[in-house]
Amino acid sequence: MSDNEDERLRRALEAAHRGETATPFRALLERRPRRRTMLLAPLAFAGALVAALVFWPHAPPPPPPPIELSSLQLSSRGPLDFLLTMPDDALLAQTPRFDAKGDWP
Amino acid sequence: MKERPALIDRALASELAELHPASFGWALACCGFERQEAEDVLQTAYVKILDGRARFDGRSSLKTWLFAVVRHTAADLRRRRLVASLGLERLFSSLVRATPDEPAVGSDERTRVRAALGRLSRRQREVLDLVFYHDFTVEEAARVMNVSVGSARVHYQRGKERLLEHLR
Repeated sequence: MSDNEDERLRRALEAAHRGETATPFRALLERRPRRRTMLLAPLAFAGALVAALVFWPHAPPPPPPPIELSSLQLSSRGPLDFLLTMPDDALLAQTPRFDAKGDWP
Repeated sequence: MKERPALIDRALASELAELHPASFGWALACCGFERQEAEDVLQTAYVKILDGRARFDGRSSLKTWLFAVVRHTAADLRRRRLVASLGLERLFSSLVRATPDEPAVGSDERTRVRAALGRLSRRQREVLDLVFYHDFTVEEAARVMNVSVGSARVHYQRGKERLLEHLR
């Protein structure tokens, strides 16, 4: 890279810094830091939020309504219950009737 | 704060004051030319030094060491801000910051160069600023940036090429 280009970069960097005036040394040392409090503010906010969530007095959940025993109805249906039902259940549940000739109606 | 002889503090403070204009320019470069941020960084760095939390060990020039402290402080502030903020800090600062840090109007050339610098990597920007504005050698810049000389040379070379390209 040539000296010309180095010189060009030197001028460019000088231009980037052009017009900057340093805050006086003493004033800078004695000034109140601005950002430090700015940094702490979100932290404090987040901390307060977490604390509020953790220590928030939770109300106990309302007790469940009393159960009336008479209203309880138990039923169960097993997966193999169908094996207990027989074909023509209705026919077998009653006594067969025959007419006077002895035929099946 | 540790008790230190007042004489040492005065001598150190006067050396810091002497280097202050250059340190201020460096702090600005480390903070993307954000004036308020640069002031925060520089103030924190000075307090660190005057408190004895950062000690000059004489292995380099005072200026090189001071610039390294400023750079480290700027990086630390950036990191803490990133961790602490989660977006909230930006919200807070936008609420508090009533006036811009610097007048928006600047010389065209300054705006153009700053924009071009903004397109480089942080390390490229830093090494170019140290070499071309603060007259450091690449070796001294490497010490400020806490990288090897080889690495600083690479950043320097690529930074130069890219900056020239963006300025074209």
